[in-house]
Amino acid sequence: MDNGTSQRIRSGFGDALIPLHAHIAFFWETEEEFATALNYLEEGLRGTDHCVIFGHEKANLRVCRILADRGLDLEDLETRGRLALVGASDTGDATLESIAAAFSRMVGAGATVLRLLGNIGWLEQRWPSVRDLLAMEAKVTVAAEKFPCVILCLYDMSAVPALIMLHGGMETHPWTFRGASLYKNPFCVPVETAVKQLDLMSETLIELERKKEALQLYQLMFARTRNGLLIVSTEPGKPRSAPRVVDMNPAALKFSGRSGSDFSGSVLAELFPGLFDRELEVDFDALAAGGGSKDLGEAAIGKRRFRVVLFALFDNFLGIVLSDITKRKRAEAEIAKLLAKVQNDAEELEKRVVERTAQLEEKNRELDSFAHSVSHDLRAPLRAVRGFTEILLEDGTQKEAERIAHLKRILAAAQGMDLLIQDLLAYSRLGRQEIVLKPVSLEQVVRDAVRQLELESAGRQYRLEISGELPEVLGQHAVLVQVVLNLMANAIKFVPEGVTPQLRIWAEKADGARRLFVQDNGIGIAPQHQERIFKIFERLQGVEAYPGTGVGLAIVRKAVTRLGGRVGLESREGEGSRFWIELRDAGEGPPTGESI
Amino acid sequence: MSYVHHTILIVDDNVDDAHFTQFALQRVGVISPVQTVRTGKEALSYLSGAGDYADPESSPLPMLVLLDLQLPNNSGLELLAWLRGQPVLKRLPVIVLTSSREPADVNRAYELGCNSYLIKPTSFNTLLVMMQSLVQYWLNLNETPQVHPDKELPA
Repeated sequence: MDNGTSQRIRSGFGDALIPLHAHIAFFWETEEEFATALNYLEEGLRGTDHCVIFGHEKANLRVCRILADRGLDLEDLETRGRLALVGASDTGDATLESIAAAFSRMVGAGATVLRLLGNIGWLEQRWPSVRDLLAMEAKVTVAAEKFPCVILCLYDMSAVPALIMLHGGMETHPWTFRGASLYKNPFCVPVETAVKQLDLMSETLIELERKKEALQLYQLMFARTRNGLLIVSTEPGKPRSAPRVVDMNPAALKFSGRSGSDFSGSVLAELFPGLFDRELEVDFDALAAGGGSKDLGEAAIGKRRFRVVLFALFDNFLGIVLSDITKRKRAEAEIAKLLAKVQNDAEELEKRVVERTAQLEEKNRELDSFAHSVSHDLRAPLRAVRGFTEILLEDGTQKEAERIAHLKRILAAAQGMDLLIQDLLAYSRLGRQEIVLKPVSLEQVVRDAVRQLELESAGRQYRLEISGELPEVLGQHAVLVQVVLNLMANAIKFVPEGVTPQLRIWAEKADGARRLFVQDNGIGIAPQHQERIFKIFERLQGVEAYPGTGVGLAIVRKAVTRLGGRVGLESREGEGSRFWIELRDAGEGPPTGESI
Repeated sequence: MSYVHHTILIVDDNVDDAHFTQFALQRVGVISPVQTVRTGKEALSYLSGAGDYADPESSPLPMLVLLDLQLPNNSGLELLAWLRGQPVLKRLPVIVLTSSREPADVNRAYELGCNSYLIKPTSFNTLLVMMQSLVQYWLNLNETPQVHPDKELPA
């Protein structure tokens, strides 16, 4: 038929142009449509068209009967290859084969129309899936090898899913697909166009598939990332409206502490209290208006810490990324702690260096003062020896008694020097000798000290009272004897003239340690001098009244310190003194062999 | 030349040293009186006329003090400090005579207002020479200040 809606086309091979109607009336929805289709068929068959009736057997019979009734010789038309009947009682490839066979017959009968792609699903009023279309494309390719032309029959466009309408590019080919009804839009297309259409369509479909895949990938990425992702929206035109959640991924949901999927539309600040307060609405508005992104810094939900970045999507939609930095923060805190510790250690070390330096400086000063004192205290007797010797040698006028007195002074100076050297050696030995702490009986120590005092005090009278039992302490016997001896010697030395020294010795417990007290009835020591007396060469009294080297108490302190103990005294001027030494209880420490 | 009625106070706890100083002074012509005390405390009593030293006849105020620093209880410098804190007595010339060459001692003594600082020689003969110069300068050349509070002339 040449009514302008059909087209003459060049077939794939040969020069013959044939009018082609889409004689496809086996699919209709209303009687009116059916009638129209029949009219097309009749018109075509009465003209020169080649027609195919393709449909269910019953429908075909009905069509044939009506056409026959209208005076058409269908058998003749069929014989001449002008008409083909294809019974489609079934679906699938068989139908396609039937159609192909019918067209082949027509081709064999001299028709140049030649390839037909029937479609299968459409018979069932079902639009094919993408998969079906792809399968169909493969069939078209196969068919294209057999036939020079493909007729595409697409019916009832209203049944085409909107998605495919939209993405399939059909709108761009109105002459192929446009039109709601096949009756109004019979068509025929050249094979190239048809294939191209199919290609286009399949490309589109592949693209769609890709897009679907991509979309799926995006969705997976959205769903599986450990970062919390949220899409939120603000109310357009309403400044400082509370942002609401459009979507969020499972990670974000987990961070919110909620479960389920009823968050859509929730107010962001309610889902994440503390993380998004109302002050941030200004930021949301600014980003929605101006785009870009904003790092909101760090915030906490419970014990977890997050870094929050806000960015614009489009319009009033915004994206939020919540990065869980709890572990990092913890690590940072750990590092900070370690750093602080290192710094602390360094400071501690520095402090110790300063302390040690101070100690060393103190030691140096002590050494200086020691040398100074030694030279002074040794020079004094030397001066006496030399001075008296010179006088004796040069002054011939002296009487015998005077000369003897001078010689006695020389002797006394020499003796004093000897004593001083002995004491100095004892003191210095204390600093060097190795000390091994052992349980020592203070009873024994005091007994030995008393015996030695008898020898040194040259018959001086004194009274000694030892109260109670004396315990065992950790120390070294010989050293302790020297200590106690020095204390006792002081006790009987520093008494006012005419007073008989009275000593009392006893022990007390003191905090896991033992204190040994040596109390006298001597001249006593004023509080302001009590620390000084333990220093070497320190003397409170004139050497005439109370002779001595000034080393005795220094020895006591050094010895007790080396034994790990302490010394001290309680005294008031004129009221006697009570010296004590404190040593570790023998039962408290290790029984033997602690080296110091 | 002999010097009379020029009391010199020796403050030294070392009997021998005090003896030498006194002896040396005698030998260079200082007849009397030379007074000797042993400690800073005694010197303080002497100078303030307290206790045993209450009698100005037997314990007259000196015109010169020879002060040892190595006194018991370190009292030499304390005495010097005390002396320089007294209203009139602070004028009294004080010559340190000690065995310490320690710069700290020397400096401190001058800070506290000593008038001279001498080191005790080891040799008695050297001491004699030292005392010779000392009396020539301090008792002869040097103008002595008024140190008696009650004999203070009105300004």
